[in-house]
Amino acid sequence: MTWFVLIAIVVGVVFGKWVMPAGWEAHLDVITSAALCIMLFGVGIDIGSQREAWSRLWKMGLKVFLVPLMVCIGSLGGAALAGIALGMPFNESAAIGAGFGWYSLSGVLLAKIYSVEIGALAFLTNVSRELMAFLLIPLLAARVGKMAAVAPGGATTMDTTLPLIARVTDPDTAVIALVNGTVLSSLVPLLVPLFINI
Amino acid sequence: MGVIFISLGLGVALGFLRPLSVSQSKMMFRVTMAGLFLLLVVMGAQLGVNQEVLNNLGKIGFKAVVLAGFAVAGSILAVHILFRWLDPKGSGKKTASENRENLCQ
Repeated sequence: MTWFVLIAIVVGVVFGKWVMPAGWEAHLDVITSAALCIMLFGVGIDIGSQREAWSRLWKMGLKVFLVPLMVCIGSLGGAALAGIALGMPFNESAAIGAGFGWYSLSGVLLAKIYSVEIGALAFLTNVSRELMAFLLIPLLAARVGKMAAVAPGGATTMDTTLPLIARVTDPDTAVIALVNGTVLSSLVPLLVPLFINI
Repeated sequence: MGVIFISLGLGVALGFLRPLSVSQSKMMFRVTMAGLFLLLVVMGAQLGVNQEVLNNLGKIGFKAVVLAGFAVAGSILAVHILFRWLDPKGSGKKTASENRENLCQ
């Protein structure tokens, strides 16, 4: 699965840099949206048909919200620690960490309300986070545990990394991943401005 | 953003009302994998076509990778510690439904 992801990205970079005719960039957004919709529709069917998993989620209750809480604490703490190592102010590193992998939103938000440089850094950091998530999810699911496989994706576990998590874990974990991504995604537009203004 | 939630919601509703058979489930797997492949290729192409991002990759790329790596490591650690504490034995155990994954690979 990791090779599948790596090869797809390399093919994309090569295509974008040397093959793609100029002016196609605008169409890429349409293609991603369409691909994402088709994929999520399929994932939705898969999740919806797991009735047993839904009843189990109901029994799990509030425990399910512990996963996004821990991912949030871990992301902010980790980014702040990295910030100290890189000599960055706390507000910048924490706000970038609060992007939780949602690179488009965190990048644009920070570029608008703070500075273009930090916006670009937030974009690249969260792109890297998504790439790392794609590479780590299959490894974590196989070696560490299913819950650990939900952690690296952050906000992306409700869309782009959800199909991968669903494939390498089980339906229960896919439902938790969906909840995790939804909670974290709704926190991004709140926490990014909050931390940058500290 | 709205369309994304609608696709997902429609799929969940359809799957809940009419659960898939094994062969339909296999077909759906191929469709979602094709979608994922396309998505990753386009993501790569968006990076490849953006000369500014490529030029600055060395400069801010290092910072970005360090920040992302620490954030990812912190998340995994926090979740792992919590689930080890809640369920000391069970966090990595296999379940019957994981057979689906073996079937597909």
